[in-house]
Amino acid sequence: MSFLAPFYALAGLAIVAPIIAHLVRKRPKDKIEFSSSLFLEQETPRLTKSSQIDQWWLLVVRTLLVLLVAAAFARPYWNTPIAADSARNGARRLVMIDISASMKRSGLMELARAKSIEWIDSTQPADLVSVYAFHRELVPIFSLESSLDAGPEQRQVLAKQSLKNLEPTWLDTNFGSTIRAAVELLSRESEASDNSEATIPSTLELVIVSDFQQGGQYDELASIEWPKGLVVRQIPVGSQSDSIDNAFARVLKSSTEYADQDQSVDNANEIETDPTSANPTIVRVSNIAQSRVESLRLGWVDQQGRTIESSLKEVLIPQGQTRNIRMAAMPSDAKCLKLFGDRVEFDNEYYSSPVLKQTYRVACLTNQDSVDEKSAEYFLQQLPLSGESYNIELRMQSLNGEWNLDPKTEPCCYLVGLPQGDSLSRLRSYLELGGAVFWLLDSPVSGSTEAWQTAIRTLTSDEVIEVNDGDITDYRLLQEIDFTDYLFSDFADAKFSDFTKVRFWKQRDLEVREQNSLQVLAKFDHGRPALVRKTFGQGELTLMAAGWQPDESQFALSSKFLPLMLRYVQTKIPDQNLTENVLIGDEIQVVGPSELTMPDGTKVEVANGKTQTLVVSMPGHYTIRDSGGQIRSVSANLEPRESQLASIDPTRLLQWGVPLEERKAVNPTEGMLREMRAVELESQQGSWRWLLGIVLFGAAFESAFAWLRSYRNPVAE
Amino acid sequence: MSAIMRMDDLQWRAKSIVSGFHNGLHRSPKHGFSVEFSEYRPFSVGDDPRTIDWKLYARCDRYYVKKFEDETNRRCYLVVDQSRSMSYGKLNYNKLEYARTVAATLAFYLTLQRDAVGLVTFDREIADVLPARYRPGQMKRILSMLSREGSGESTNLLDPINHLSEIVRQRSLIVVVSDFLLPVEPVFPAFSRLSARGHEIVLIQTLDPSETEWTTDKPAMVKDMETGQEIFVDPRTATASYKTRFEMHQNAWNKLANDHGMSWIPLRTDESIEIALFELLRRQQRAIQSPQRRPSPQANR
Repeated sequence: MSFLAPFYALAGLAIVAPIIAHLVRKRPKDKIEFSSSLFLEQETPRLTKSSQIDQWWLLVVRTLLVLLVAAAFARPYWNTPIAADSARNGARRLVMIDISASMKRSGLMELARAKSIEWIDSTQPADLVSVYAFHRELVPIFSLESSLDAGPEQRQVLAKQSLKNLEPTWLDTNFGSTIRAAVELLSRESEASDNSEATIPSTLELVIVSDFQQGGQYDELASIEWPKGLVVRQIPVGSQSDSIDNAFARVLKSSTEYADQDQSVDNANEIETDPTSANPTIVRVSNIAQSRVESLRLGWVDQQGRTIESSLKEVLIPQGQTRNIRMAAMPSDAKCLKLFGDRVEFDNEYYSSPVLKQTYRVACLTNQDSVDEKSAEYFLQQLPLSGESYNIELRMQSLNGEWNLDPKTEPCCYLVGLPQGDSLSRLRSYLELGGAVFWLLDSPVSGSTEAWQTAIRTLTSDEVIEVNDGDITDYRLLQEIDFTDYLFSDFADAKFSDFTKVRFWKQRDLEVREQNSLQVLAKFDHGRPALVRKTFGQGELTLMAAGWQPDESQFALSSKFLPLMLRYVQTKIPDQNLTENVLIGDEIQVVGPSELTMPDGTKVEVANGKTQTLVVSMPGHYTIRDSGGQIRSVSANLEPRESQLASIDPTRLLQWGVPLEERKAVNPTEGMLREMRAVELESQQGSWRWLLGIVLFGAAFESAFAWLRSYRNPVAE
Repeated sequence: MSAIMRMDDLQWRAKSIVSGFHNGLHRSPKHGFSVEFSEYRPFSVGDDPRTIDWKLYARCDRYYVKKFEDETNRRCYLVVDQSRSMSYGKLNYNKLEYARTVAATLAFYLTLQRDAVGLVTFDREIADVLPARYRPGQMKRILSMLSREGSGESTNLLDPINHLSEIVRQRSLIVVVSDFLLPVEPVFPAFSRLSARGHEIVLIQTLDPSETEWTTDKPAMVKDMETGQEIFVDPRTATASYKTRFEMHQNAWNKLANDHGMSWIPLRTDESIEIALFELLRRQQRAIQSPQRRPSPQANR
């Protein structure tokens, strides 16, 4: 048995303490005052024969405890032959090479490759070397399994060969998750090799060859549980000053995105206006804090990769600042936006698609030949029904004329007036095919009550059995409004739910069948339905028992009219986003039958009824053409974090708890090797833990024993 | 006893005890012993003409001198120990309070008999001396002196005894109230001298019940309240030796008292003070009946 720290064994001299303590007679703890000591005799606490033996036992136990503590601090170990063999075995070493987009900087990948090869050469043949690449994930290049299979002679050669074809990707970096994966891999592989190999190396080494850029997502490092014996070694590349003079730009997709200020950029609120631009594009340009370039240019690039000179714009972005730049609208032949002027090229292009709007037609079927300012149709015409991603074209159609509605192109329509004859059957079939009809009973039914009732019975499947003009002396209000319905859900908040200003001068009384499937959305204040809905599968008929024009009510002039009508149309328009922006690494789903064209021209066919998920791996436009010829464009761009190129301070890794290797530029001597072996053996055996465990147990025994003695024989104490 | 000791006022305690004592005797304290008639004696030259009983002269035409008992004019000195050991007590009160109550009770009782009562308090040295008087306010002075806090030093009985030997010329009753927790030998000559002067001496020993035997069952360091000395005491050996030593000590004092015609009254603080009163009364009557009783100088006159 040897000791790693033999000088600590001198602590064994502390056994003198318990011996002295046993020699000193204890004074009793109890102290009493007495009137006189005249009748008392001075005595000395004497130990009886039996208590002497017990005390000797206590002394022996205490002395042993002191000796064991001293021995534990001296860190004993045994020079077992197996352990010695184990100590001579190689370590497990895993090299992680950064292949994220930031490594696309000129010469960086070659440098990383060279440093990795240099490190592989410095390993011992017995070392189990493996090579992994990483970006947002860990990618095996020459895995631990392959290394185990290869054998000591070929490991280094194969590991170096695996690096030859390594190229950087467009993906962003995630140091936290990839290092965690590598650490788990190292420790898991170590455990697995327990069974397959006789010896387990106590040293695990993780080598990271990377630019250690600031945008590398390090937070997860703090939560990693580092296995015992693991050493992390940094090999930084690309810390040259000119490789971090970087700025990057991105086109803000919509006004809402502009309004949502980037939380990481607190000064992104300045806009440089371009008065010549009619329909401007807002571009957000950021210059990283370490950059020394401030004068930049922005311009559109056409499909052939040529800069459109007319679109070039000079901008001045101070280092560490972000500006929103208002540029001329994206030209129709433009492919991407490009930033000129910084020294780093890989992140200078930003792909954006012009907004493609689908146009939908909404018919207003009416009996009116002309629309005047008092008619209900007039107020419909005034509505701005188009949205950001679609156009709505409102078309007046004579109700009793020739018309045919297709729910695919005309998902909803308004019906103002009394449909009769063939119109009724066409409307009925439109509803059954999935169309939505908003029927406004905007005129009195007296005079043609039967015709009205026939129409209503036909369209509501006899669920509304009678309609008459309402008898109103002054006005009617709405009540029992169903705010859970999509039509009224925008008004559910108490601030907007006041409908008392909407007065109805005229209305129709609807008599509904007792057993019906109608959904009453609102009632008049005399209890009759004001707004009812009848569904036909996908289609639905919404019936309003009054007109909204000023002759009938205040509804069209109220603040409720526009949101309610917009909500109706928006709900009926199919949600088709024809342009989409994604980041590299995101997934896009392609529903067949369709054809996907990737930025490099590769085409992928997706069969009918199948859905293919594709991970975006390069910047550019992904075009998806469906069988109907409709084109959906997906613009893929680099993760903005990847442009934060400045290297982190190496001490930050220590703050996250990474067990970094302390480099010493000395060759180990024989003495040092012996010492290292001793440290390794001692670390493996961990005898001091056993000794301290025995000490704790012994201390508990000693305490219990001493207490028992003092309890039974108080005089002896 | 503890009920009486709970009274804060010393005078009230004394009155209660004396009143109870008289009730027990079925005698009214208003007919005191101090006016007890002794005998008639024919007038002779030199007698004070004020002592002639003129009513008897009217009846028998002879001059007779009326002679009274000596006790009425007896002087009594109460000597109270106020040393630190007297402040010991395991009851609700300590020995000193008990001793003060004893002294107050005796003073009150003697005052009722029209005896002159004086007081000497002491610890390491004499603290207060009040000469024996029978006069209004004397009782109050005694009570106020008894109520005064003592300095609480060690016991030195020699000085007050010697002092009394010097200042008390007339034959007096000297009542020493102390725990007498001191060796007999040093004070033996002083008591011999005092006794030789014809004084009647009563030694009242006040002891806490816990002092009569060693009751502590755990080994402990015991601190002497007077000397501050700490000694280790093992109950297994100390109980027996304490008892032996204590009895020897008591016997020594008892012997000293018997040898010098002194009364030795050991009183435990949980015992009634009336015992002391009975003892005093018994001694008084024994003195009256004793043929060796010395006539008082006044009677001789």
